[in-house]
Amino acid sequence: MNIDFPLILLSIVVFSGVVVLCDFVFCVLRRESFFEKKKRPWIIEYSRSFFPVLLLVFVIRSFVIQPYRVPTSSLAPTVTPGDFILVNQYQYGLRFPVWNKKIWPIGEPSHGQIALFFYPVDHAITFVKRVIGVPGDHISYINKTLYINGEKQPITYVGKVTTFTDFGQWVTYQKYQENFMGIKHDIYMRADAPARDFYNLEVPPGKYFMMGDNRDDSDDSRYWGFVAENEFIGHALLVWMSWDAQASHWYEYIRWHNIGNRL
Amino acid sequence: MKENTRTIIASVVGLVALAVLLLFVPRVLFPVCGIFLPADIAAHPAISANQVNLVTEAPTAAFQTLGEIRAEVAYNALSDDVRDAVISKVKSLAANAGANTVVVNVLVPGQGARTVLTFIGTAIAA
Repeated sequence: MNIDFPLILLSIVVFSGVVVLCDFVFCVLRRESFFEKKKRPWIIEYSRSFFPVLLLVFVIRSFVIQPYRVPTSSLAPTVTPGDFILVNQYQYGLRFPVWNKKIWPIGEPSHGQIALFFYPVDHAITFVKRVIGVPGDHISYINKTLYINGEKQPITYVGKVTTFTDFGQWVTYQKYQENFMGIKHDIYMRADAPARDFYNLEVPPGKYFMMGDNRDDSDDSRYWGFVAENEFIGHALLVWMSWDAQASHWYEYIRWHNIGNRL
Repeated sequence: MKENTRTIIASVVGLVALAVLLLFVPRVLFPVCGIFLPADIAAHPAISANQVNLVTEAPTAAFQTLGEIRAEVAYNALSDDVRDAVISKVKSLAANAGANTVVVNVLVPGQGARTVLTFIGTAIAA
């Protein structure tokens, strides 16, 4: 069992909810008012106080929106380590947390969206990448340029950027702007990294091909394969906070220019 | 006394509900994931996984490179079963791609917090 925040939250909601329900039954049997203000045993008092709040948090976090902190630079420069993003929890269908079972189909991931999903190799880990291929697509990656169903996704050179990697090393990236299926966004490439071309990769039904914008420093579908539809969590909407833990001055910790960026 | 009974019953029922919930929480599974990245546009007819051999060096005779195979599996304890599961997945991917040989380039356990066995190999038709 994967003991993560959704399971802990659900456990507390279930326990406090059942305690409140039992208390309600007692009140009915004894013909007492459930809402009467009086001193109750602490476990019942706390359950009555916290259950509505925890239930609200559970419902909002599970079915509406949840925050997520990005730990790596695999989506740089679009999303950088320390960015806090808001994730739309219902766009890919309402799913019951912990089991991640879809209970209400609403939409599917589409090209260019940045999506949160369970790492297919280990569902205890959450990844965030861009949707590159949807079921039925044929993807080629030739000389670091993507081709979707034979259509080239053009890239334009922007300039050089030197930045810290996740491993604390300075690296110079070549920054490009990619026009991916009409969505313009920046990507990073490393001049010293081989292209690793592939041709005409077909995306099977019910599966998606995901890639990071940091093309040569991203652990993505090129390494572990496709993401199944039932492994998606939600669609990343915007950056609501950006914290630079490696800043040299206290006033540089918050990256104000990133806050509010729509994804 | 009545309040104590109420507390005990409510707590016990709450704990039973919690136990039932935890009983039905899905177990964490570590599937072997992988992909075959084709080296050319032409598709090749699939073969049986039994016909696929793994080798550590490319054959000296002429061969055709069909693509690259990458696979990963998470594990709690690295064992022969974990390694065999990766090899089985690699053979399956190679067979679907029509490759009768896979040259093993990388087969290493992950370093750091993530315990993942990573495979990278070249699928060839020898």
